[in-house]
Amino acid sequence: MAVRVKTIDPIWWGLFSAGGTLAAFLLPVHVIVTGVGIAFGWVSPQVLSYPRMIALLENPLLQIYLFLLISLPLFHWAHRFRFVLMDLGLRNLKTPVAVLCYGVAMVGTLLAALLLFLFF
Amino acid sequence: MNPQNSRPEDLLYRPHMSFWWWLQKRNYFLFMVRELSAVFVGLFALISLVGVYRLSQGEDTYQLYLSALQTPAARVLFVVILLFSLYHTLTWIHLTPMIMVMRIGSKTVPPILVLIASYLAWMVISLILFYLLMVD
Repeated sequence: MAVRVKTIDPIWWGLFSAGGTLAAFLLPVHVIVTGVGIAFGWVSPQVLSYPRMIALLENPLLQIYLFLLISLPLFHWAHRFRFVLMDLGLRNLKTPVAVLCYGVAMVGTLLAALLLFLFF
Repeated sequence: MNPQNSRPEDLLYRPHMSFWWWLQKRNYFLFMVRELSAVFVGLFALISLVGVYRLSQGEDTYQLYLSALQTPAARVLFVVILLFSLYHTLTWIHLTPMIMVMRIGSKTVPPILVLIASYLAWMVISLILFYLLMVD
């Protein structure tokens, strides 16, 4: 592995790490139930039904949970994908790559916050 | 290159690497698979975000989203996402004891115990979430 950066931005690394931990422990079961399970018909789509989701999202704790479940993995993606792109030869575009990756994560986070905390 | 106008990092020796360097060794390949797992982890977050957006648009629109989750394309996509998600979990759990050295008093907790505890935590959390997701 090449020497990546001289100074690691602790905020990005912290978000990457938090997202990685959250994804490691929580994501597989979500993917199994609401992803694979519903897609193959092993799980009833009622699990994600409109009335159930609306009722669940009245709970602020579940709003926060879903917000973290969306936002932190996006920052995890941003940080890793940034270095994948640099490792694949975009080392001269360090700044645009970083802006693009963290920018996507920030826009996704903003949208999730607006939708979850203001709408529901 | 004029060294006087260059930033220090411009003077670093940079070996030329082929775009396909990660196919040259098994470990490089596994490293790349691990890093790319983040793409699928992020994709699942994005699909969830779309779901929340569709939910905010009302029941009819949300129903289209639920139907899209059951198409053959969705089946393929979610199987791929699941495989990468599991690979992410395994690699993340195995890296934790190396990064976090746990100490109790002056004694270091053996990494194998951290590893076992992580696996147990993952299973307990998954079972609880499975129950909460499935049961009203």
